[in-house]
Amino acid sequence: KALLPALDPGFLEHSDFRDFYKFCFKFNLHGTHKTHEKDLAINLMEMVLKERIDKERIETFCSFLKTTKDPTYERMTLDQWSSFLEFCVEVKDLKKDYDEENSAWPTLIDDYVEYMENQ
Amino acid sequence: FVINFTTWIKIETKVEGMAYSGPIIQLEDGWKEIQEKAIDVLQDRLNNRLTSKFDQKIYISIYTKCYDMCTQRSPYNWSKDLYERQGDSVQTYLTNTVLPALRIKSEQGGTMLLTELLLRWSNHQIMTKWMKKFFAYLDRYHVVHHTVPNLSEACLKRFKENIYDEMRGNATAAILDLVNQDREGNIINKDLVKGIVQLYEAVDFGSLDSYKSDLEQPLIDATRNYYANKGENWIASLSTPEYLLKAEHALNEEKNRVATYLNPSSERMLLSVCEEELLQKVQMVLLEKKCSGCHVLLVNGKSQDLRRMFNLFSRLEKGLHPMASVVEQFIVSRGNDIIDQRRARLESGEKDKNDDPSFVKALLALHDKYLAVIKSDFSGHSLFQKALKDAFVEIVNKKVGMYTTAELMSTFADRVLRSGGEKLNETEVEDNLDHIVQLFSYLTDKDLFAEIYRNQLAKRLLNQRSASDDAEKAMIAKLKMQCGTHFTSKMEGMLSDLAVGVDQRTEFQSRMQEHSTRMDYSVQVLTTGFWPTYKSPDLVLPQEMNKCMDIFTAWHNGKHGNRRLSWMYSLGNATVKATFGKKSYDLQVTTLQAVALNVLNNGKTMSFKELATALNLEETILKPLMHSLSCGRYKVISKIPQSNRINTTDKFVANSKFSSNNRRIRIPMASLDASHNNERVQEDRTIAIEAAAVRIMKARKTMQHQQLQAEIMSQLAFFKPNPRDIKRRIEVLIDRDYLARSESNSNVYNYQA
Repeated sequence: KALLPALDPGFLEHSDFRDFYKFCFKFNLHGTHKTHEKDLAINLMEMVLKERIDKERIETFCSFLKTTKDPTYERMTLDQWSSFLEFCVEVKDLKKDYDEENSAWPTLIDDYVEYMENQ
Repeated sequence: FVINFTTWIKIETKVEGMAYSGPIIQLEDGWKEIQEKAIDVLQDRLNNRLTSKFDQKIYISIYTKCYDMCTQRSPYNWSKDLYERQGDSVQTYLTNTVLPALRIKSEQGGTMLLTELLLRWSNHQIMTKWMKKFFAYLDRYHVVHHTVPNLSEACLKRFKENIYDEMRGNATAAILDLVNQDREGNIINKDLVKGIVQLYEAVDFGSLDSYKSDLEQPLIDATRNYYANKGENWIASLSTPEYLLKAEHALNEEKNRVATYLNPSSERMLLSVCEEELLQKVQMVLLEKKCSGCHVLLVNGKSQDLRRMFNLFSRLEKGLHPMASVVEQFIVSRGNDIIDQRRARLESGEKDKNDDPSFVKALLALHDKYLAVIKSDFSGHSLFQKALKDAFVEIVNKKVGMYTTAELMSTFADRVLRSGGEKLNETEVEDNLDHIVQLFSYLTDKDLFAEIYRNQLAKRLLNQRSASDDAEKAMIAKLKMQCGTHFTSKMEGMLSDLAVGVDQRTEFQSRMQEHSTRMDYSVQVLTTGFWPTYKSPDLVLPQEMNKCMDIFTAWHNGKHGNRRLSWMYSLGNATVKATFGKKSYDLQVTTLQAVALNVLNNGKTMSFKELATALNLEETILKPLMHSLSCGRYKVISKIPQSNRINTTDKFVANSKFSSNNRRIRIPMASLDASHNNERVQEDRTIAIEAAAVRIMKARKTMQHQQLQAEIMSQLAFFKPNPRDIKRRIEVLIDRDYLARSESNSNVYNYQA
């Protein structure tokens, strides 16, 4: 948290940033855990993606995470973490660009899109 | 050179075998004779409808004259002239005599024309025959050497060009008119029509082209119009069955018509036009007619009408699809009626339990009924069998109330197989089981059925409540045939445990006799995994029982050292001899009840808590146990205070006032375990999805998400997961490093070795 503002990942290409982004997830893992507690993941995500991803997307996603009652989402996996970045890059317009049937986004993201539709 | 020529002639005459040695016949002389003796005579006879037979001598003389005229040496070889003159005579006859006569009749109307035409045609055939006979020599040499049409062809061609071509229009019209009259039910001269049709067939010397273009095509068009008209009338005024009857009749008639007076090659086309106008065009109208359409026929079980409809529509390409669709919807609606009846019963207060035999019986009856209908009315056609299947898949997977149809069906099977359930004879049992398995094949949640069935089977087997071992085996065999060995392996395991148990008991019995125990004791060993899991309280047993158990354990360990025994006290039965005052009874009870009774022997009073300690049983078990002994039909134990609920403050003592007329009394106890373990089923499903995913990915190495999902679905035979569940399992596998998303395409997975 202290170091991050000093770094400036804005100049990175997408593929490099992707690696950096995944690294952030792994770096913060405790002990033998392979997943992050939801709250930690939210904070981390907000920090790392701040300049990179559309503000509204991050905000809505984090509020979705906070409000969802699904017990399987209490912890976030690396797959969910990485997929979220790709999702933000590929799917700009949730209504037009998102095709649940023909794609393989993690269910977390399917549920997020559904949450946004109900808003 | 001259000498050679003469020699040549000589050779010719030698080959022929007939040497002409008379004077040269001049053309005009020879022709005159032929004309007068043959041609004129022939024509005269034909004109006056006299017999056209020629006297043998005359015939030979004419033939010879022709022959002679054709074999004279040049320039007296009259072959070409004879050929031409013969042709001309026919031509003249046709144009001067035949054609005018026909033209007159043409004015007079259809049948007159046809009759005349037929006459003239048969005359022409006679003329042709005689021409061929008289001028046979021309056919043999002149025709061959000069490549001109032979006499038959030439004669026919003349008839076609001079007579047929002009008359065909009117003749066709006349025929079409007669055909329509025939259709209207009037009597017509069929032989006449047949004769004329043969003219059309013959006129092209070997091909049916003229027949097809001059008669067949107009007939087809006229038929189309005729039936378009009829169809319109009928559809407006008749009910579906009436219409179908008329249509069937018309089609049969047209078929006969072809056989009677048309060329057989016309049959296909003619019938297909009729089918198009009468059936194809109005198919949907017929099916959907308000008071007589397919649906109505099904409701009223109009077997004959349905059969007719089936037969007629099967003539059309894809003609049965709409009908099958109506049948499917109909069956679904009948099924929904049955479901609604169940719903109504539940809503009006009937208790919602896992046992609803009237519902299951109604479904079985419905299935049976339409299986029979398909066989009798639709010739067992596969399209309709599929309709039945699709309808039932929809019906059987709907849920009303708390229990799925899968569970209701299993309970019904339990009734059939249980002693004291449905009262059925052997064949009825077999039939019922067969039908249940058929219905079972439509369930999506087959694994749920299996789990419930297994639990109920275990109950029947352990409590010796099976009506027939053979029936149990038969049912398992039927399920095995539907679903494979894996599906029924646990059930078969249960049966084999019991079979082994019988032998084991006999062996153990002899061992028991070596020890002196005061009770009759036997043990049934169950293989874990085959049987459902049961609660196993750590009961405190009386010493005699412990002694027996130890003997068995020792004996068993001697036989199977590496098997561990775990005693299930919640199962098992006992017969307790109970004496109340002067009367003795044989109480048939569970092990738990027997142990409780033993503790309350000799009139001891114990509180609930004391019992709990003495027996080492927790409340959830002790309560139903004591309830069965003190609040049921046979109150062998008195509860203080008397009521219908067990409270932890109650006291219990043997009921000294107990009496019954029966010597043998069975005291049932509520089951301690649920009917089946739903979580177990869900767990197994999770495992099955993951196993399938790994198996598929291992074989294919890399796969796109939708393909993987589809493959998984197709491999899972006993339940249908929803796509979200599959996704979740894939994510779990990613997390566990069995699979990984492809770097280049997040839609694709790679197998991680």
